[in-house]
Amino acid sequence: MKIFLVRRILHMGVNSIWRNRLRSFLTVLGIVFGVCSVIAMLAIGEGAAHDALEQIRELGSQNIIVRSVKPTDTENIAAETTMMLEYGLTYNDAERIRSTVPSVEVIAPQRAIRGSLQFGHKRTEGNVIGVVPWFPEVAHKNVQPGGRFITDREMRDRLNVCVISDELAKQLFLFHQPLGQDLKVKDDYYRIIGVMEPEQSAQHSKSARSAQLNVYIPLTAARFRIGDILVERQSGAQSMEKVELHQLTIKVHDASAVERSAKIIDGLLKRFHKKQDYEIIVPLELLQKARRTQRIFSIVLGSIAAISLLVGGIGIMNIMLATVTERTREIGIRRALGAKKRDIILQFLMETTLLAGFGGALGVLIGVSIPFFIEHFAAMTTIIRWWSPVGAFAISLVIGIVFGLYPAWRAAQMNPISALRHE
Amino acid sequence: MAIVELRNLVKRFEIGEVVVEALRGVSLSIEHGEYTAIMGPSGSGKSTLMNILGCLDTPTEGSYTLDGHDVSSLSDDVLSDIRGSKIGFVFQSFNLIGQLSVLENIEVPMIYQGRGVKECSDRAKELAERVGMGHRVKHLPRELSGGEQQRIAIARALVNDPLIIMADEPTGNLDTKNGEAIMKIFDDLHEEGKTILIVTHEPELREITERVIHFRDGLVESDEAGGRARR
Repeated sequence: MKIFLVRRILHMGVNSIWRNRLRSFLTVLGIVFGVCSVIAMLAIGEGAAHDALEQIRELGSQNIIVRSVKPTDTENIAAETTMMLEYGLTYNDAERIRSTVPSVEVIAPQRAIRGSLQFGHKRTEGNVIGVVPWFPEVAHKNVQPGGRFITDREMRDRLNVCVISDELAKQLFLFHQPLGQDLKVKDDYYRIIGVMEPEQSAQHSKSARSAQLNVYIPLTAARFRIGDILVERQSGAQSMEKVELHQLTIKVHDASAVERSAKIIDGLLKRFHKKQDYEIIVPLELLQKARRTQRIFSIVLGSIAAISLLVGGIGIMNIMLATVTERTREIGIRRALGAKKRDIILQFLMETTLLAGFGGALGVLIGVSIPFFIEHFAAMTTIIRWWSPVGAFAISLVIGIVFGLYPAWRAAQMNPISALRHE
Repeated sequence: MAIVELRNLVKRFEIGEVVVEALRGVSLSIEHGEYTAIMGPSGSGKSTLMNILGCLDTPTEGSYTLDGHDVSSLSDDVLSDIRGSKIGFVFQSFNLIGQLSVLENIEVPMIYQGRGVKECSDRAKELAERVGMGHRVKHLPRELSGGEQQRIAIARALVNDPLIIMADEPTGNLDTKNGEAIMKIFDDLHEEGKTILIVTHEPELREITERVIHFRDGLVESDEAGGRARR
């Protein structure tokens, strides 16, 4: 193919589209909307999936998490008489799992209560979490450089030391170096020995941020200073709860053993718990479920995209057929002056492809900016993968070619003599 | 050597059940440099002949030799090439492309011969000058008068140095003054040695051309010397 000819035909196409800019713009609107909605929806979907997967991954794919849950009301009528509600996991449970389930590598019990936190005159409400020294390893959390986590000795001696979360450090120690300071937790003072790394799946919303105001203290110190019994006073009434442990994070030696171990642990706990006062969370299962959901989401999205692009393509074909009829005479003149059938095909195909390309490019531009606004105004995570604008643009070009073929073929099939006589 | 050589050319059209014979065995030849007028009433077959001579159509029977090559049964692609390189068309209704400027219109036949951008625009300017339209190359056809448009069409017909210029009623849509100006250009081209074939109704052309061929009912009725030859 002669390169000059292709260049001239390209030039002709651009001119023709520019001359009919309003019509061209309206023609490609279908493609524009199709492309931009695909990119925006994919970005939102990817963002949501990313957040979900990240949260699950933070729980650890080799981990099994057992949490204490308050039994539902109907079950604890008996307990009301004793004025004290006793439920949840116990130190015995932890010991039993450690000694009887062979696939368990590490077990990290923890206790979490709400409590007031105070430094100087600044105070806030946060989570006080009693943990073991190997908690960071199991929970995939790290201490920021300069600080350290609780040691075995501090655990054994029930020392008043604490490690705080990054969010809490930002809130209470805005103009201070938190390390070495004394933080008042409930009624006692704890020395800060470390600050945790910020959460990877950091949420932007205010409520999510306040959920990350954490203080980690040795589990032994928590038991010794705060005790197992929690007294809650609300508008004259008083309720007491006894919970030894709130959560067990169990790490098994291999990801393939997770499911089996979870079943064994469930069976073991059932024997000692009459009520269903615990739940078992298997991050690996959640991960698989989340991936499945994402796949379904992608299929639905793909179908919507395909339909909207199809509609856009039909719109283009419709207009191109009208254009071909309108330009019958021009086609006749060009044929008489030496244009071959394939030159005419190329001319109209080029025009449709350019149209679809402009539509696609405009769609990409809008589609890429929508997630940007969503992220800023709706505080949602959006992720634009490189292949989504590239793919959407490529598909719009393909649509142009596919739906341009028939009008172009019609143009080329015209008889030059009758085309010349066309009024 | 004859540029155009026709032998027993027959063209039939089927319109529904009816078969119309537009050409019923035409034989004629046109020599290099000849200035010929083809005349005849409507329906005499002269337009059909022009379409075949211009390679826009193929004959049903008989042979057509153009520049020594038989073109009566070539493929569409080859015929397109011949139209572009060997034939220069001038139409009654000018047939300029309305969306293109004068210069771009003159360039069209060169584009399909795959000639370079610079070459195209130089040659197009040269020809615009030649037909006296050099100052209006940026205009659109609708901004020009009929006579001016026809000049552009002639310039366009000349860009690829065709073997033969075929004009179908070139003055049919023009007033007398403009018509005469156009005929003057054809005269000049003839003086330069170009082969020209004009289909016309107008009896005055009898006096200008070298040869006049009359058609009637799909056959050559008479083939006589024109006014120019007698002079």
